Amino acid sequence: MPETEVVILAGGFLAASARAATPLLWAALGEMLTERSGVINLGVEGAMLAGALAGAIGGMAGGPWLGLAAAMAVGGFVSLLFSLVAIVARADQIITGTAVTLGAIGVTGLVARRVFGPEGPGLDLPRLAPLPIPFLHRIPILGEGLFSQAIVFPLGAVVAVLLTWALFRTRWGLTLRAVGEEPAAARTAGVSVPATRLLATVLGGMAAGIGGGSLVLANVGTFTEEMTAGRGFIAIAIVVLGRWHPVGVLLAAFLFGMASAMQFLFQALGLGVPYQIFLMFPYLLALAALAGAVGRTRAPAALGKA
Amino acid sequence: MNRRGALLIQTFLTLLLGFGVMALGISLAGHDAGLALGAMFRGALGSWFALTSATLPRSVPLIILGLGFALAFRAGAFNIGGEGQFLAGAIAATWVGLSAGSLPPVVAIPSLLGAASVVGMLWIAIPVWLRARFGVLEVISTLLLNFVAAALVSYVVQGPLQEPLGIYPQSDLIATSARLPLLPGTRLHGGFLMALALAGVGAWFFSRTIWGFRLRAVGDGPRAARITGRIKADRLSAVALLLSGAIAGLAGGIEIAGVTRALFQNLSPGYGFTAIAVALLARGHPIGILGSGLLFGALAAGAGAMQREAGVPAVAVHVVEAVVIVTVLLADRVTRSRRAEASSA
Amino acid sequence: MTRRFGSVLALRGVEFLLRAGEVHALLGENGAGKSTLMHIAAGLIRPDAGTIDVHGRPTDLRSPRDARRAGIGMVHQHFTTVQALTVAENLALARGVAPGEWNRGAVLSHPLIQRLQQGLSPHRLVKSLSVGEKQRLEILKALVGGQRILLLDEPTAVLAPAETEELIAWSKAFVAEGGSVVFITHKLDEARAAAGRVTVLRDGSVRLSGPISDHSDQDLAAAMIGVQEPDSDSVIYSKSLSHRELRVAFKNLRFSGHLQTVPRPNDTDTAFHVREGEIVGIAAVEGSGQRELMHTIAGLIAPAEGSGELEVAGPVALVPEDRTTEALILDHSLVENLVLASGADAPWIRSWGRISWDEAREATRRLLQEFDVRAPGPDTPARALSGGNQQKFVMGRALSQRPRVLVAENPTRGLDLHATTAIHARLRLAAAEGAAVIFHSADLDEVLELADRIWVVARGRITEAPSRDREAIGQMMLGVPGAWGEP
Repeated sequence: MPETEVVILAGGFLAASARAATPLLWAALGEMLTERSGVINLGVEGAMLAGALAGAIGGMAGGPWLGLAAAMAVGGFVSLLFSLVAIVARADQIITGTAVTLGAIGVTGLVARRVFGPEGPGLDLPRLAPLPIPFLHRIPILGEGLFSQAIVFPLGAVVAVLLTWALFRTRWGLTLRAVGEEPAAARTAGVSVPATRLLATVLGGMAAGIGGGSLVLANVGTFTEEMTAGRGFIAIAIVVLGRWHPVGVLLAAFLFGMASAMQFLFQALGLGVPYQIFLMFPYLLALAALAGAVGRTRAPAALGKA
Repeated sequence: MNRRGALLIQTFLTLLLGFGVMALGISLAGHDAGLALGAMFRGALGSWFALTSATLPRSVPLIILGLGFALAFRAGAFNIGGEGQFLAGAIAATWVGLSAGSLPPVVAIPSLLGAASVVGMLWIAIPVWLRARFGVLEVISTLLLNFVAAALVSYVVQGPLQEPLGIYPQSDLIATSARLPLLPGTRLHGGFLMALALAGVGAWFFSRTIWGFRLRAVGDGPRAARITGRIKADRLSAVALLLSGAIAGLAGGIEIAGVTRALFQNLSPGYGFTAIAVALLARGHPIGILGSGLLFGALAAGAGAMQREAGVPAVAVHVVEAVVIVTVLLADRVTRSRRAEASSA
Repeated sequence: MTRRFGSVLALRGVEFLLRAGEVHALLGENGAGKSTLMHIAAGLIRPDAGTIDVHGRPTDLRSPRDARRAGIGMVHQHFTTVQALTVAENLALARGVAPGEWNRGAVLSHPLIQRLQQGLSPHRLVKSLSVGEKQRLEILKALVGGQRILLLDEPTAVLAPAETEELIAWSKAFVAEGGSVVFITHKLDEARAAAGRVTVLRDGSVRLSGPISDHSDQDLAAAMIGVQEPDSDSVIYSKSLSHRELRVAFKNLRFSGHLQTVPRPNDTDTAFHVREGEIVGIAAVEGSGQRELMHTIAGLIAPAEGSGELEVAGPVALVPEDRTTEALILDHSLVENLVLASGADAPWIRSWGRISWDEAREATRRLLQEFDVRAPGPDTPARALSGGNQQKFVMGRALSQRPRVLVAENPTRGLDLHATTAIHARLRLAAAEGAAVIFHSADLDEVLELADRIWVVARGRITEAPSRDREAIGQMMLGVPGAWGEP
């Protein structure tokens, strides 16, 4: 294979990885924030799915930016519903999350059929344009791969850095971590545990909504039922692999993006491997990541406990 | 009013609320809710045929998967991978069923169901091992394997198990001798009796045997079970998870041998998830699961009719399931805090 | 400086006055209302009626933040530091500031505050601190905002005697500079050592208040429990036991986390043993390895490979540390809780592992009667019982198995005097009936009161106490090398 072709292929692979990583990155950053406060939200899948639909509807009505805003709002709303049951009423978080995801599948199915009709919206949704980062986008391979993406990818990276600062340098972050580790201790310090968790969960849902929205508005350009296909659950694995640290989550999300992009790479290389193997790959990688990461890291001590 | 009566009323109200929310959603989505619910009722219970050929066959996987979920749930473990184990069991069952042509039914059917159970158990053995070895939460690992199982089904029906013409993404029909007998004139198959028996055995197991008691103890008070009961809690919940997977695999086998007779993509319209609602509505009690399984079977049957006759997507029933789960959770929170108040007073 | 509380649910018309420059002891049994009173002062609970004056001004304390702003800091009975955070982050959390601003201001450089900071480097994780260091961090947290009023809720419960002395000395120095300390305890000698004035609460009312030197121990005890304290010297412990049957014996025992047996001075025999009819008390500060030792004897943990031998002539019954999570399943009925503890040979277990609930129910009924457990019946959920009755049930369940060895961890923790007396009587009776009893209490005085012999466990090492000298045992509990008779 000639050298130029390798360069094109590598650049294309990185670009595909970044595209696939973007929804995962947003959802995982949100879930990380939520889990840092001691809440595990399996409804993140539902928030993503609802965000995707809202992104499609908003994008159709007023362009990709409105779509993204709608995705964020709806994702936050879905997580608010989760929070009311799991945090305010203190019901089991795992089951509540499962129910929220199930409900989101049902509602998005109903709404999508109503808005788009049985045929779906087609492939004509307006999409976010690629945003070449000045100077950086000229770097060979990396420039095409990482620095000419739609805004949601670089924005996600910026949010990861901001979150690092917020978690470890601000009073809000300190409070959030204390609530996730030892809620009783945080309470005696005058912190409202439910309020802290509710905020972290809703913010997490908003991020998941953006993740779902970017799936539609930056990647696929259309909405199909259950299109998130477990990305929310993969995001939970990414949080573990990223060790509950925003930068770790950023790297882990990109790793999963690469796993998804393998499919395109192998197709481009013309290898005769069944495509279903690649479909399985991210999920298997998530399992392996969980197994490899869990022993060497520690979840917030109060995670999942009412 | 006694506790059982209160629970029945609560269950009824829960369902009413679930249907109410769905009806609201349907009308908000611009459909005729009355027409949709009417179609739903006719499709589920409107005739002898609807009952025996739509509702009951659909309730079989729900009851069995619900029992599987409950087994792990009452031991304090979450098997959200019933869907994946169901599919893995179905693959195994199809493979056995396709090659069982020369065997008599008394051999073919048990081998098919046995293979389905074993493979279902193997499918969950991965999360069980990951939990024991690395401490990976079984909630997430079982969930992730659902997607792997779906991809695997997609692969085998376009690869090794594809029908001989190689056109359609589905398997050939399994051998006649491996099929479960039908009630004449209906689609109701022998798996229904198995579901009934399994529920009965489950009820006896939980309430009357020391093993069932220990499972409950691990679920309700893991520390006390370990220290006072001297129960190896980790091992016991691992066994519960393995059995849970085997039961889910069995459900997949029964679906192949009793209903579809062939493997194809989308074999399960989310039975594994609906079964969670089934088990939770019954609070994990096997006899209750029988009731809630029948109910959700009717719902699934009705959903098909609703989609055909009123154009309402069948996924809408997930809304009912979600509302039922959340309502049950909230109701349990209320009774628990009331009980705590009563005991502290 | 005045603070007043009017009538409150758990408190009835309590009036409490804390002066500047005094250590004020607050005495009372469990449930007397001491903690409730202090929680009101710390802004955690609001009184139903009544007023609080701080520095002579009526003050509304609606949250812990309000209390801190008013100059009141509280150290709770249970640690409220966050284990996974650093010392600096915990201090920042207590002040309500960003992590980088934890040492803002001059408070932390004050000599008295510096005295608390020894060894507490800001970047250490709290989980790496010793119990005594955590306690000092708690006090730092309470004072880091410049608070001059310090509420200490049973601060000595987890401390060894030397640490207690240092805390009392520090408190006196703190009030000498104009601060005020409320010292909650139920130990009279500590109250006397620390405080100038005392208030005694019982059943939510003030029973006695004034300078502590005006009141004899008898007065204080009477105010606390309503009756004269029984004379504990009347019980005679010396028994001749050498001919009795050996029930527990171990030597060079090791388990995960390792336990070393240490010879007594002038003693070549490092074997430890307990004979029938004996009560052995284990003196240890929290987390020294005593729990592992007891769980090993009870057969819950296997000794580590290559470790010395452990011989136990069972059956062994265990009364676990935590009643509500380890001994009982609160949502299960009493009969279920009885079945939980029973082995496969219990009379209500039939072939194929079937349970005869009728028979188990009958056995539960007998147990409730024999051990004076106040409960409506065998089908009552364990949650519905009071703490004392729960513990009586747990004790009765253990003894009804006719154990040859009884292991009890903190069997009276959190119980009132009445229930404590009942549990003590049961332990003595069990020994009198021939069981070998091994128990641990975080309260050294309880160990001294009940035990025939005393083992000390510190930092994973165990030895037999050479004497019953409270001071010497206290030193050993802290692992002071000299106290262990080693070079």
